[in-house]
Amino acid sequence: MLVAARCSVCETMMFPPQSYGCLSCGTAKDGLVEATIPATGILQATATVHMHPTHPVPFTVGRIRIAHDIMLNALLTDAAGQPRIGEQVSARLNNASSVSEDMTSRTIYFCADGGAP
Amino acid sequence: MSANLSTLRPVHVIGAGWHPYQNASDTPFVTLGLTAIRAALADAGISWDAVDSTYVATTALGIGSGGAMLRYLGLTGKPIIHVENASASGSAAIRQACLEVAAGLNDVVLAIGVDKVAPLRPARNQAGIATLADHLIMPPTHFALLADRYIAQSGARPDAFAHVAVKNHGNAARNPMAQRQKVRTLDDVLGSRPIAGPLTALQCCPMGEGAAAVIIASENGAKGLQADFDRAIRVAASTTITESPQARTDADLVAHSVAQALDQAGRTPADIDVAEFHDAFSVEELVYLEASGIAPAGRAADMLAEGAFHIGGRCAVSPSGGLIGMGHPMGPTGIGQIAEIAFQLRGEVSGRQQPGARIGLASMVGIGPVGYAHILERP
Repeated sequence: MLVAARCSVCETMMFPPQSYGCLSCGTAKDGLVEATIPATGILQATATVHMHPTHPVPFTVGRIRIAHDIMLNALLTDAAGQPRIGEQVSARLNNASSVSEDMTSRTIYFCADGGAP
Repeated sequence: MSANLSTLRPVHVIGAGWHPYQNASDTPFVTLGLTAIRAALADAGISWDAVDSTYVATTALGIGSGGAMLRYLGLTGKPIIHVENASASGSAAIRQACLEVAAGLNDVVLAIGVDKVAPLRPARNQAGIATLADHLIMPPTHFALLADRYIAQSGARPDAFAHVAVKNHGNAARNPMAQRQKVRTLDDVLGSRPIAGPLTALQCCPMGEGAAAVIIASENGAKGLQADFDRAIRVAASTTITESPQARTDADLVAHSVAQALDQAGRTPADIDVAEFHDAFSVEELVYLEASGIAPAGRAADMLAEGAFHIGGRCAVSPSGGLIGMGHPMGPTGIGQIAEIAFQLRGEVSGRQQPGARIGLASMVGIGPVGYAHILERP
C-alpha cells in the first residue's frame, strides 16, 4: 500500500500525501487525514533516461495510473520482465544492493505484476 | 466578468525586435535587453519616451533587472513590472501589456524578455513534499514519457519526432536571430546523444541567452505618435489557464487555451496560417498540433511528412526554428514568438516567409503548469 492523504470534507484522495491543502476544495491540515491506496496501477508510459545530473544512468521511469485516477511517476525495474504500457504494475521495495548515494534503502520501484518481491 | 480582447478596445503589435538567441556568453543582460528594445522602437518608429509602461519577463536575472536595464534608455519615471511564469514568462508579459492597452489604462506598452543561462529550479521541488520519483524527472524525461504515450496511442514511429527537429533546425538555419544555425539531417538528429526515451540532444531545445521585445499599442496611441500603423498587427485573442481537473496535462492546457483563443478571435484551426508552439522537445509539436486542432488526432506525424507544416505548407509551424532551433532562453521565448508571427503576418521575413500568412497562433506552456495562447491577425 502507498500512504496517501484523504480530504475529510470532499473525499478527494491525494498522492503524494501532504497537509498544505486539498487539491479540490482547499481544506487544510486537520481536514486531511492519512489514508492508503493499493500500490498497484496501470502503466501509461515509460522512458529510459540516458542523462541525469545526479542519478546513475541509464534508469527507467514510468507513469502509472493508480486508484482514484491518480497519476504518479515511479522508477521501474524489469526484475519481473519488461513492463509494458497497459499492463498492471506493482510497487516493490528494492533490495539494498544497488542503492546509490542519493537514494535511501527504502526506494520504491514498480515492476510487472507477478514479479518476485 | 467576461471582458477580453474581443470586447475591449483593439490592441496591436506596432514594433518588435531581438537580440539574437545564443550560447551562454559574457555579454551582460543589459546589452541583450537594450539591443532588443532599441530594435523594437526603431521597428515601430517611436522613441523611448513614448512608452507608457514596461513588462519585463525574466526567470534568472535576480531582483530588479528591469530598472537596471531600462535606465540606460533614459529615466522616464514610467512603471516597470517583472513577470515570471516559467517558460511562459514572455507570453505572460505580452498578455499583461495587451490587457493594459485594451483596458484603456495606457496607449503604448513594452513587453521585454531577457535572460541569461542559469540552473532551472522549479519551486515545486522545494515544497517539502516527498515523491516517489518526481525529483528524477527532468523536463526531457517528462516529455519522453509523453512521447511514449503518443506512440502507443497514435501508432507513430519513434523517429516521427526527429522529423520535427529536422524541420525546425532547417528553419532556424535561415533565421539570423536563432541560436542554432545548422541544417540537420534525420541521421544527424537520430545519431545525436541520447537523452531520454526516443529524444536525442538535437530534439531538445538548447540552453541559451538572448532578448526579445514587442511594443503593444492602441490605434489612437500609435497614430498620435506618427508610428507606421499600416504595418500594425492586431492581437485578436489572448488567453491563459492553469491546471484543473479538466486540464491536467500539457496537451490539455494547449487544447483549452487555444480553443478559448480561437473562440475569442472568431476563428477555427483551419484559419491558422502560421503557428509557434512550446516545442522545447520534438514530441511536443506533434502533440500540440493535435491538441490545438490544426491536425486531427493521430495525424500530425503524417501531415508533417506530407509537408503540411513546412514553410509553404498548409500552416507553417515553428518558422522561427521554434524552441528547438531558435532557442528557449525562457523570459524572451514567448515574446519572440509574437515578434516572429508579427513579422510573418507583415510579409517581411527574408528567406523563410510563409506565403500569404494572415492569421497566426502563438501557444505556450510553462511549469506551473500554465497555458497561454495568442492569435494575431493582419488587418
